[in-house]
Formats: sequence, structure tokens, C-alpha cells
Amino acid sequence: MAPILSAHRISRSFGPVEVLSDISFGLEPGEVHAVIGENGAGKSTLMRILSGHLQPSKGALEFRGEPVRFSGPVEAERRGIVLVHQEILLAEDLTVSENLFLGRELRRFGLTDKQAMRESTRAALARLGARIPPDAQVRGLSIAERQFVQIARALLVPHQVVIFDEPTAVLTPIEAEALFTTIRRLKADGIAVLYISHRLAEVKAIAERVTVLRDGQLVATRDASSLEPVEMARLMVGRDLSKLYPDKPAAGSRDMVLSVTGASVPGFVHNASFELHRGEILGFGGLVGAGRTELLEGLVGLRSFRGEVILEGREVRFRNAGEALASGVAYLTEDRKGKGLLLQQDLRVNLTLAALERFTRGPLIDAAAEDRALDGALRNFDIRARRRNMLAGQLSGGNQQKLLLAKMMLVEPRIIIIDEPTRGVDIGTREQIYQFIARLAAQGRSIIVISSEMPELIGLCDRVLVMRNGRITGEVPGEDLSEDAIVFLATGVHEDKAAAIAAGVA
Amino acid sequence: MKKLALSAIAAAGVAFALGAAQAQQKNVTIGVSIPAATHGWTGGVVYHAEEAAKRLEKTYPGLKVIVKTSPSGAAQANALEDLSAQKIDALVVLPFNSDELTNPVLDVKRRGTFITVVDRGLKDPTIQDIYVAGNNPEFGRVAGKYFADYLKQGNVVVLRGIPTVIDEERVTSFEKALQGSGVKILDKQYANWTAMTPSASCRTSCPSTRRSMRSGPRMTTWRWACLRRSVRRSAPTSSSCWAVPA
Amino acid sequence: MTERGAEAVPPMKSLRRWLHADLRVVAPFVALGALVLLGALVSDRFLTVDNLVNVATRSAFIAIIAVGATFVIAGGGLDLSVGSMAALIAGVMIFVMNGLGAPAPANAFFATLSTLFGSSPMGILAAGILLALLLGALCGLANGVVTTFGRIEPFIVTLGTMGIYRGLIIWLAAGGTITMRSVELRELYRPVYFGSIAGVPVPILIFLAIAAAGALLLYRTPFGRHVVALGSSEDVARYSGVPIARVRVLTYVIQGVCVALAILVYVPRLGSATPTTGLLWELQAITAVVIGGTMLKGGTGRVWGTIAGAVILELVANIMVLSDLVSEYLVGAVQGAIIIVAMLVQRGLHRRQ
Repeated sequence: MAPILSAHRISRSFGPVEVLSDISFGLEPGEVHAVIGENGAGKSTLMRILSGHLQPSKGALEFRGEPVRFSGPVEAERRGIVLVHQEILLAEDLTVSENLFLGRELRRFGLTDKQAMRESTRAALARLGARIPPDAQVRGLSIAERQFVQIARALLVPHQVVIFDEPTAVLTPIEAEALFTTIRRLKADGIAVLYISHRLAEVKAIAERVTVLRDGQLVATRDASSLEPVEMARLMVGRDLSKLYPDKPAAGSRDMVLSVTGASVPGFVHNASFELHRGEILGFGGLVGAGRTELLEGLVGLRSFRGEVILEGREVRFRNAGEALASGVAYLTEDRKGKGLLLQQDLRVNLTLAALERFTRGPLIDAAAEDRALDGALRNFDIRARRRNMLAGQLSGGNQQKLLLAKMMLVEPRIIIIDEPTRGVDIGTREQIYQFIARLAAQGRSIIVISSEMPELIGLCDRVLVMRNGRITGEVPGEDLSEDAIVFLATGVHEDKAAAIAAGVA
Repeated sequence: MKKLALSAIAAAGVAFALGAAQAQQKNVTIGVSIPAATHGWTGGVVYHAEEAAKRLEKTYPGLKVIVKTSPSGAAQANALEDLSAQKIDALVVLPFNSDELTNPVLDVKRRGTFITVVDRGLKDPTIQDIYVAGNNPEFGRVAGKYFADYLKQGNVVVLRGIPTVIDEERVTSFEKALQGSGVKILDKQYANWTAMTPSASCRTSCPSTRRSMRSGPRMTTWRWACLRRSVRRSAPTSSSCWAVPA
Repeated sequence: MTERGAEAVPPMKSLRRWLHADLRVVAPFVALGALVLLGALVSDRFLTVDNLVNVATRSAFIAIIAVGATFVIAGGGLDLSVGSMAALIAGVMIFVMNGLGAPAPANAFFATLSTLFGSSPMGILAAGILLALLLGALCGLANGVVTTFGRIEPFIVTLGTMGIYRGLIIWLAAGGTITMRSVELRELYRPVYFGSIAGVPVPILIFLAIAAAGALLLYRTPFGRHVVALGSSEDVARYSGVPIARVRVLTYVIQGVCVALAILVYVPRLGSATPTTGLLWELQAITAVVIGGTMLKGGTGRVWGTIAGAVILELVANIMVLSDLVSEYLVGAVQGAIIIVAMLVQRGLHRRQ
């Protein structure tokens, strides 16, 4: 079949840096074509070229066999090429239907036709398998719901090619399943779908063909049926990654370091109790919004919190993160950009922020000591920074996560709580982070990992607690760890049922 | 009257400088620092000072007159420094207010500049070499006598000007002139010689005025009277005292 | 990937890089230099020692206040009340010194102060200075506490206190002026504004000292780092264990103390407080901070840039007074245009980075 949109030897440079070089590939109608690669491999740049946000420095695009040059996203959209952004770009104070039709409002007698827009919104969302009231304010929607609104908005214009940029990053398995149903329907309608994702199993499940990028170069385009996730990872990283997770050591000492009894976070968590042992990696599983983040943020004093907390035999109550850090409990947020790092400040300022009192000489900051700490962090955590004085915001996701780890390790915590340790982190860096977590546990520190990535919980944790609707619904011990066991506790139904429900919803 | 006062400014300021100029045949610079035109009278001062400067410069070659206007006391202190930096030989100053400008003028004086103070005086009269002003105590006395004769019996509110020496003189003799008469001063408020502040001040000055203002047509009449007067009477010929029948 | 591991950078290279990267730091000083050049071209009286010293001296008030404003703004706050606060502090300070100078103490408050500080002019002056600093700190504390614990926008809080402080001084002065009565005291206090040490006017020395102290505090202490972190992102600061409430309140206290320090230099100049004292100083201070390269949204603080900004504001006014190019009535308009141009330049430099 002739490709509807194809790229011929395109390259793109930013200044002297070539981020994409000599890429050729074609997208056929009715296929789902996945593009995978590590962060910084050039996926986003390729995406932005295809959707008209950027022009290639070299090479050309062809649309339906004719060379085209998009002056901007509007022109690409006119030809039926739409991009579903990874970031949520919605006006929070407007309603769902106002957002859907923002900038292209339906009119009647010169006035906006609210009724018609409401109806189309309802229909568009129903097609995606989402039940979101058209008059709801976007502010009140969950991240997943917003994602659906955004997809519905993109699909509102007539489309031939739909590009999804990591659409499932914020979706639960059921919601992801609903999205896949939508994608399959697009495919059946003869639409070409370009699908970017970090989740290789998902790529395997939904895509016909897979294109792998590494360091701005196209490594391979293969049929998905002949490509296993492990092989995808090897192509992406350029080395064997069949062993992503470190070995689990035999269960060591069972001294209890932390015990939480009857914990509540108003509005999010009810009566949660758990224990943490020395040298243990404890997982927290569950759907987005189950209250995992809130429970542990409450524990370290970032939210209002009730309940008994016994840390190393002493009852404690942290009123803020500073007190928790002082007691050796560090929490690494899932929201690296919003709450973890000062994106506008340089690496040094970020690194020492939580442990600043360790870097003083008299009343003043000891800049030399800070520099030594930065050297150590860049080396020990393998943070790849072009310049020492670059801003934290200029680092890739993986390097930001390593910087956040380095920052929190400077306070030498005994208990480390890591919320979504690998969200937005490419697979090569992922392996490093897992190794690092395992090493911390081997040092006798205790780790709590909150994760929505099922394989991560299974591969990394000694045991997993699962939450649903603000309660801890059960514990899966190490030997019984399986996706099904976690999904069951997280949703109340078994995995195969979950898919069926999603299909039924759609 | 206006012209008289202004000629006085010029004459007084130039007296020293010209003497020097003619005697030593050298160039002389006179700095003139006056408040910016915030109402009719200061407007007149600015206009006539500039006119007088032109005329004097034409009449006496080698004489330079720099006129600077300032919208506030602090700004006038800046202007005085700027004038000093331009090596003036004599300064003619109409201080924005007496309290704030005393130190800055003293500073100019200490550089050996000949000081002529006009109208609104300084806290420390020893600073000035010449002082030109109207007979301010008499303004106050005449106004007070008028009220005592006209009203015989009644209450008045005094909306005075900017806190300055001359304001103090006028109000003091106004009060003195009312002594023993049936006219009583209910309250005194600074209205700063502007059209906007008096009405606001009047309103809050005393309960009886407030009542009369609220009570229908009288209020309108009264306020208009107040505004009209504040514009018309802010001329140097009148006193700075207003009286409002309660 | 094009990223390389960071290697040790040779010093020369790092210096050049620093110069290149931080154009924004140098920009206000370049502007200052350009203005001086312009001034020299426009008026032959401009480049005299007298004139330049005058300009630097009178920028002291705004410069000192703006150093405090740099902390507040770098910490993501805003203080609109500084002008009113200045008037209030000046008024109270003079009021108290007058009270102490009176032959008999008017009430128990003055009696207590009198026994503490004595009735010598020196004692009275010390009492006035200490009281001014204390009042400044308290005014700042009020702003900080309401903003932080009331969780109200600093714009609104300080708009409110702006009215309150201004109202208090008008009330205290009964709509008129509060003036230092004692001639002796005036003479004693005079050198703080009009005096000079080794040819440098005292106000310049004072504001340089305050700027140096401010720069040290902001750049070299954990507190300063915390201020910048708070201004960059309150959430990140909170999650990093920064005591954000304390840091935020302290920025406002520093602002209050800076206002008091400015008033200590201001009072010997004009010797009185009026209802119009410090009018619009808040805008001038904010302008100085912004011209100096500090971003209004917080997260950066450039103390020396702020000083340059304050001097630039006075320079512009001075050049316009000295030259006859533009009417001096347009000083405000030109200063306004300068803010906008400064922001455009800043934005341009930011983009290039």
C-alpha cells in the first residue's frame, strides 16, 4: 500500500547540534506505526516535523505521494494530520465542551451554539469510551479524563493521520484499554496512526510496525509481530537489556524501621496501616488516584495527616518535609518538574537545596564544597549534563530523575520514598535507577516505591501493598507477585475482566 | 498684586547678583526654584517668573536665570541640588513647604549662595538673606474681622493651606481677630491649596457640616461654593481661611 | 545523544562562558554606562563631580528600599506598602524624637523612653533610630505574616497595608506635617545625609554597605538560597524541606528594615514627614529591581543590578533636568518607557539564552 505520509532523508539541527539525521520512513493508511526510542533519541522532534510544528533542515516530506512543506501546524491540520500532545493543553476554567471547540466554536446567527457543541462533545467523548459531562469544568477532571478531552479535541477535525505522543502515560489499565479500542477503530476506518510510547508491551499489543530511533538515527523499522519487547529495548539502548531488574537479595534482616497505624489523609486516604523493614523495597501499587501519593506525602508532613507513626521505635509526627528529612525520611515526588526540581536554577543550586546546612562554613555557603558535591553527583549518578552550569530544566527526564535522587541522597536518609521512579524516564536510565535502588536497599536503607508500572513493582519490590479508593486493599508478598494479583487488588476485578469492562464501556 | 509680588521676586533676587555683575564684570547665574503649577496662583508664579527671567536676561547681558519647578517638597530638594551643581550665585526660592525645604536651602546657603526666600518661608529665618512676602498676618486679621462683623454669631471651619510659615501666620491672626466675637472655630484642616482636598476635608471636618452637606440642595450649593472659592480665592490676595456657616 | 559527561572546565573558558551566559547580569551596568555617556553628550554640566555625587546621593532612598524589595520579589512576593511605610516610619520617628525633646514627657511612654535613652540629643537620636528600625521590622512582619498565614496574594495584602500605613501617618500629622523641632537635634543628625567621609557622601556609603550586606545575604547564605528557591517554585521549596513560612516572612521583615534604613537617611534631609512623603516610592523601588535584572515572577535576585537600577532612575531625571531636549514634566513618561525597554531587552537576552 502506498504511504499516506512519508519522510525522505530528513534531518534537523538546532544550532550545531543535529538531533535527527537522515530519517526515512512511511506511514500507511490503516496501520498503527509505533515510534520508540530513549528520551532524547529524537522522537519528539520527528513528531513535530511530521505535524508541521518544525521544518526539517534537510530532506522532505511527502503527503499522498506529493512533496509538501508545512508552514505550521495549522496547514498540517488542514491536510488531516493531527497531533495529540503529551502535555495537557486545556483551559482549566472552561468546560469540557468549551475546550473541545475552543477557537472553532459552532455558531448560529453569529452567536455560539452551545447546545450543538454540547451534543457533539457528548458524542465525541462517547466514541472514546469516556463518560465525561460536557458541562464539567476541566479543573475538576482527573488527569486521565483530561487526556480523553484532549484526544477528543484533536479528533474533532477531519483527520487522515493521527499522531499520539505517549497517550497512556497518565492512564490506568482500564482507561488505556479504552484508548486502544479507539485506536483500533481509527485503524479500521483507514486512518494512519503514529504511536509514541515508552511502554513496550503496549507497543507490541497495538502496533503493526515499529520504528526504533537512537541518538537521532533510525535504527530499524520492523513488523511488531516479529519483535519482542526485550528486542525493542535492545535496539533502543544499543545493548542487551534482557535483565532490566537487579537480582533480589534473599530477605535480610526483618527489623521494623517504620510502622504506620490508622493513617488518614482527609479526602484521600482512610485508615491505612503498614510496616517497613530494614533493607526492604516495599512497593505501593494501585490506580492513579487511589491515594498512594497522598498517603506518603501525608506521612512526611506535606499534607494534613492523622494516625500513629513509629519511626525506629519512637513515635513521630512530621509537620513539614524539613522535619521528615531531619529524621532521615526522604520523599521523592512523582512531579519532578513541578515539585522536585527548580527548573530555572542550575544543577548546583538544585543538588544542595535540601541539605544546604551541610554545605555551610560559619553562616555562609561553602561554594567549593557544593562544587565537590556536584562533581560527586555527576559521577556517582551518571548525570549527563552538557555543562555544569546548565539549568535543571534543560536536562532530559532521566537525568532530572537522577539529579533528584542525588539531591535527596545528600541528606543521607534511612528511609527513601520514591514516587514513580521511572515516569518519563527512558529505558537505559531506568535500568540504572533500578540498580541504584537495589544498592540503597543493600546498604540497609529502606525503600518505598510507588509505581503505576506493574512490571516495575514485580521486578523491583520485595512485597507490594495495593491501594484502592484511599484504602490499602491487600498485600502481595514477593513470591506471589504477578500483574493479575495487583490488578485484582487495585480494581477489584481480574485482569481479563478489566479488558472486557473497558471494551464494554466503549 | 500678582505682578507686584513677582516683580518683588525678581528685584530681590537680582539685587545681589546684579550688584556683583556690574561691579566685577563677570557672568552671574541666578537659580529660581518654585512649586510646579498645581493651581491658579502657582500657575501665575511660574508664568511670571519665566517672563521675568527672559526680561532680565535681555536687560543684563551676562546674567543667566534658571527657573525650575517642582511638584513636591522632595522634588524641590532635588531641584535645589541640581541648581547648586550648576554653580548658581544666587537662589530665589519659593519653598513648597517650610518644614521640608529648610535643610536643603540651608545646604545651598552653606555653599555661599545668596538666598532670597519668597512667600512661603523657611523654619529658620536666619537662612534667608532677603525675605519677600505679603503681609500675611494682616490677611488673616482682615478675614477674621470680616467673619466677626458679617456673621456676628456662628460656627466656622477653617480649611487652611499647606503647612507653611505664612499659613501659620494667617491662621493665627485669623483666630486672634475672632477672639471675643460670637464666631467659634469648630475645626481646622489642612486642605493644601488644592481644589480636590477641600471638599473631602470639609466633609469630615465636623458633624454639623456633614449634616448640612447631606441635607439636600444646601449641600450642592455649599460644595460648589467651596470649590469655586478654592479656585478663585487661592490667589495671594486672599487669606487661606475659609469659613462655612454651620 | 549529544550530551557529554561534564568535564573540568578550564578557568579561562569558564570565565568567557560566564560572561556570555550572564549578559542579563551585566545589562543594567551597561545601561548605566550608556546613560552617563548620553548625559555627558547632552549637557556639559552633567559630568561634574558635584552633579554625579548629587545623583548618587539622592538615589540612596530608593536604592536602599529596593535592596529590600529585591528579597521580597526574588522570593516570589511583592510589597506595595513601602512608600506609605516610609512615611509612617519617618513620622513616628520624628514624633518620638520631638516627644523626647519636650521639656516634660507627655505620657508614660515617653517617660520610659526618656529614662532608657536619657535626654541628651545623642540619646534621643539613638531612641529615634532604634524605634524606626523596630517599627520597620514590625510593619514588614505584619505584611509577611498576613501574606503567609492568611494565604492572601501579597498584592492585595500590601495594597491594604499601603492604605493603612498612609492613613496612620496622615492621622498622626493631622493632615499636616510632622517636623523635627529641636534645632540642636537637626544639626546633630544633619551629617547623616549632608556629610561625607573621605569625600564620599554618607548616604552613598550607607547604601553601598547595605547593598554589600544584601548581596552577601542573598548569594552566600542558606537563607538567600532558600529565598531564591521559594521564588522559583514554592512547591519545590516545600518538598525540599525549606521552611517556607519563615523564609517568606523574613523577606518582608528585611524589606521593612530596609525602608527604616532609608528613612534614617531621609529624615536628616527634609527633617519632616508629610502625607505625601514616600508617595509612589513602591513603584520606583519595583522599577529599580526590575531594571536591575530581577524578574518580577521571582526566582532571581540581583542586588547590585538593583542598585544600578535605582541610580539609573535618578540619572534619567537628572539628565532631563539638565538638558532642554525634553520637558522635565515628562520625567515620569521617560522612566516608564525605560522600564518597558528594560523588560524587552531582558526578554530578548532570555530568549537568546
